[in-house]
Amino acid sequence: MQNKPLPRVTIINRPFLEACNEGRLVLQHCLDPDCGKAVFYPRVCCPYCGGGELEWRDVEPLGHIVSFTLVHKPQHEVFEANLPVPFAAVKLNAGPLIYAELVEKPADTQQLLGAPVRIIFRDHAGDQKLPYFELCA
Amino acid sequence: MVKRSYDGVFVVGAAQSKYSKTTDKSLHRLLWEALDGAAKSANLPLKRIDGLGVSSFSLAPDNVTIIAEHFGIEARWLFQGLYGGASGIINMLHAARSIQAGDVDIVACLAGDIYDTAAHNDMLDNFNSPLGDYMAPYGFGAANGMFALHTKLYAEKYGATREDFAALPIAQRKNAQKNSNALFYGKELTLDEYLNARLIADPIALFDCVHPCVGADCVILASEAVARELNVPLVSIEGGGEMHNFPVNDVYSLRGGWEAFSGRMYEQAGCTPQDMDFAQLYDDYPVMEFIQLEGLGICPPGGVADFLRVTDTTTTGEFPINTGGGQLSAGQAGASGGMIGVFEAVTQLRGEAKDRQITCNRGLVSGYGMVAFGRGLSSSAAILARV
Repeated sequence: MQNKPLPRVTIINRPFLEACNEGRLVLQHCLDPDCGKAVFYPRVCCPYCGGGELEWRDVEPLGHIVSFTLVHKPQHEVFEANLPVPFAAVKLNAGPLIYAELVEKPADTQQLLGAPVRIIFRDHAGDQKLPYFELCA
Repeated sequence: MVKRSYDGVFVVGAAQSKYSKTTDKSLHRLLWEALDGAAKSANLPLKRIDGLGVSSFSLAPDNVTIIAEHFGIEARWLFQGLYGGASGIINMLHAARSIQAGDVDIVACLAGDIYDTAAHNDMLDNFNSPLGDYMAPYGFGAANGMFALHTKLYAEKYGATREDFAALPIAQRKNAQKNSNALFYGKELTLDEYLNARLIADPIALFDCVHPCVGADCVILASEAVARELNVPLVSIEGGGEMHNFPVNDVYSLRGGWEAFSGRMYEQAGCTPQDMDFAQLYDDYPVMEFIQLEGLGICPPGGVADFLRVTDTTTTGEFPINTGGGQLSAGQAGASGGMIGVFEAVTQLRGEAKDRQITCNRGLVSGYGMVAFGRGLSSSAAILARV
């Protein structure tokens, strides 16, 4: 069976992916004093103000679920070992949206919208760890 | 002042290839068949075409320039659709502008793909970096999972039920029973079948999803001087628009680019949403048809479920939607999903829709595509009218 797909490592996203392997969530922050927003996915400039000065900073690995699905028919066979796949969009407390799987299927999916989550880092494929979501107790 | 913007340009021909689940043909042959059919319906020899647009996901390593060479077209105007299912209408609108300016006289707008589920999933892995790098590494379920997130939010925000989302797939399936080129011709869909279908990505189930397939669609645009000599039914472009990455940095407000230009589009056309006799929507998922009906001013935000409870959208109803069955019932032939509605609108306005012909003078056609970080980025629409 094939491995899970991985992000392409580029000069743009390397700091993010290296921090994942160290168990840290880092986001780019716009250095324009009138903007200052946190940015995800990784970019070469700030998509809020267009400024070109961005700095990688650690952020707290917390957010809440904006929407989620239980995927019964994933796009590749490699994901079929544990069906359904719980997949969510999470708004980080730092601001941006990020996508990942929940580490386990929640017992009750009725109360998931808005539920707080912690971002943890798990082995994904090869030597790369990626973000996953864990429901806060 | 808003000019009546696309004066002096007409849609003079339209054709669709055979839609099927598989084919022995090459993509190039399929595209040629749609082009040849459209040229015949325009009463034009193919060699007179001097502009070409092609939208196709699986054309690489070839492109529109190579297609011009392959077909023997000397082209002074080319367009390649890079906006997914919004490309067909954008191709038409850009071509109309160039014809108005006199840069080109006759443009064929062509779309098609040889497509199946595996090809779709493989394509999405490499569709663009935000999707490929930050969604596709997970078991997100490709487009089905992406739009499950929007469907769940829409249901939560507006109280839309599974029955509400069933209305359009069921009505479109009825329309497809009058279209022998639809993949699901001869297969009715009941509410029970819809509600009990297997889940694909909760809350999206089997009949919320399109069936990837093989097909191509084409329309031909011409200047007024050319159009008047052809002795074929003419269709005008009364208004149109496109919008990308709207609202910016905002994935989950259940909106799309249509609301950003639809007011201007109706002003161009000198009419209102209530004057539309039909809508050919981009129906990748029912929730996106809902968001288009809102953005195009047919329904207020959150009002689509109420509208559908009292409106028959079949070909015999008061506001027909996707009169040929749409992608949900005719099939999604890749990038042709952005042209199937244009073909259908032109066919209806020419009075050539046979068993599914509706009474119409003008109607809407809408496109949507280029899924990236959680949503489709490109929206387009046009108002077409019988001359």
